Amino acid sequence: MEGLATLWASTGIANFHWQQLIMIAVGFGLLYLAISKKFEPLLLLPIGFGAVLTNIPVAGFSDPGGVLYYVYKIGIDTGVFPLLIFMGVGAMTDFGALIANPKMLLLGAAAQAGIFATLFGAILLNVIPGFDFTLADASAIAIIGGADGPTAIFLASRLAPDLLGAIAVAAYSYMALVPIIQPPIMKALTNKEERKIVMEQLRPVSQREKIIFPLMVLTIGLLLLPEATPLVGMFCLGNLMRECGVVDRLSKTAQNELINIVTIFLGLAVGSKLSAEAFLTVETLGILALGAVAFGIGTACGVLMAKLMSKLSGGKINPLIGAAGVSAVPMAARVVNKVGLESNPHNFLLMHAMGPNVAGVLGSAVAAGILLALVGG
Amino acid sequence: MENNLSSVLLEAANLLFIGMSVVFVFLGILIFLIKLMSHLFAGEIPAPNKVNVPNRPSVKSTGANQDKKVVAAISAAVHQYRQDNKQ
Repeated sequence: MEGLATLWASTGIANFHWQQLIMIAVGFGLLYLAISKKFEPLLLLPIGFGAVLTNIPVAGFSDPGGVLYYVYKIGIDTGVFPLLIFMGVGAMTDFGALIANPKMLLLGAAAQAGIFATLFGAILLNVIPGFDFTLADASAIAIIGGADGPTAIFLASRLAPDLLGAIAVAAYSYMALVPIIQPPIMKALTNKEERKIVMEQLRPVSQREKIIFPLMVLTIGLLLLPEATPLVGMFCLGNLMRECGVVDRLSKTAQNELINIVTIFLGLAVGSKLSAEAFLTVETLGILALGAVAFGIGTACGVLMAKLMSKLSGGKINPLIGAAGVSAVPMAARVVNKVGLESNPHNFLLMHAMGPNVAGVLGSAVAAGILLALVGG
Repeated sequence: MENNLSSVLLEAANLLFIGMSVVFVFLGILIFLIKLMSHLFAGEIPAPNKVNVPNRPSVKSTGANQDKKVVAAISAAVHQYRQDNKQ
């Protein structure tokens, strides 16, 4: 009889707190979004599963000694996983569209305004009781506006590890929601004529330019903003491997096997941060709201900048492509293409939007470096 | 608390200003350097094009040449045939 009582005491049912049940439900919710709605499934699936695992009572996945504890410790606490992902993203990115039309970098820069504007919002939320964001917390939240998962995770792991779970979930959810969040903003800020603008075809870019480009970015990074070089450097390494043409095997590994392996563990580690005590707070709601605002402001600033450039260039630039300045590669560029096609069914903006899109990746890495340098130090 | 909030807000404003300027300066320098690079390697730019573009016309032109030869041969043969038949 005593044996039965001991066994009962060790079951999940006897040990559940209601918060853990809610978090397991959140985990299943993420799994549902990943599988049925195909919202960034590569990440939300392991994140959701990690959230379920970490909230299992008694098993202690995220306590010292548990497997998720080590995965988090090794991969995210050290910042290694997001950087490896960034290398893979670099190996997958073709900068040709940007090199052919370098002015697009301005759009990638303008869209980062969402990040810095959200800093205000996060600090202002402190007025409401229950919120207590430091400047470091606010910076980590604001980077959601950069619409770049690995950058957000990297910065959050440096500046606000306690908020990492909520920040990562917000970042990836909003990236999945790009096709819903962006079009209304894009349409509100442009008129039909502007959306119809057809852009000149881009010139072809030589291999030599593509090889020099990552080296050039790295050089400026190390001279001006060394804090950004972990992100920018790994990105450039991946891109150089892709473009130089002599290490195709490494490039393929970085953009396939390696990034896949790291994605599994990154997702699990982020999921392990979705524990009841860290996630079930008002601050999480604040983070989700601020993330959406950051995203909206970033999109709006990108479009407005593109409008300005369109005016200055005498109507050669379609202002829609500004929306791709928030990174979210390649989803944002596809959205631009789709909205453009709605106004003019023969106007394919995809290649033109890839320029600001990859510029946005660089822009948010630079913004992350600035926040690290000014807030983290 | 109020004081503290306003000082943090001021700091955030500062960050906004510095952050956006640095982002623009950084990417602005990059624009300049890309243009410089494109200029330096301007002669090299059409390289992938040169491989493709002359190839296609050359295929076409040899095709056209062949066509001309065939046409010439046929018309010569027709001419010969007609000449032969007349006589």
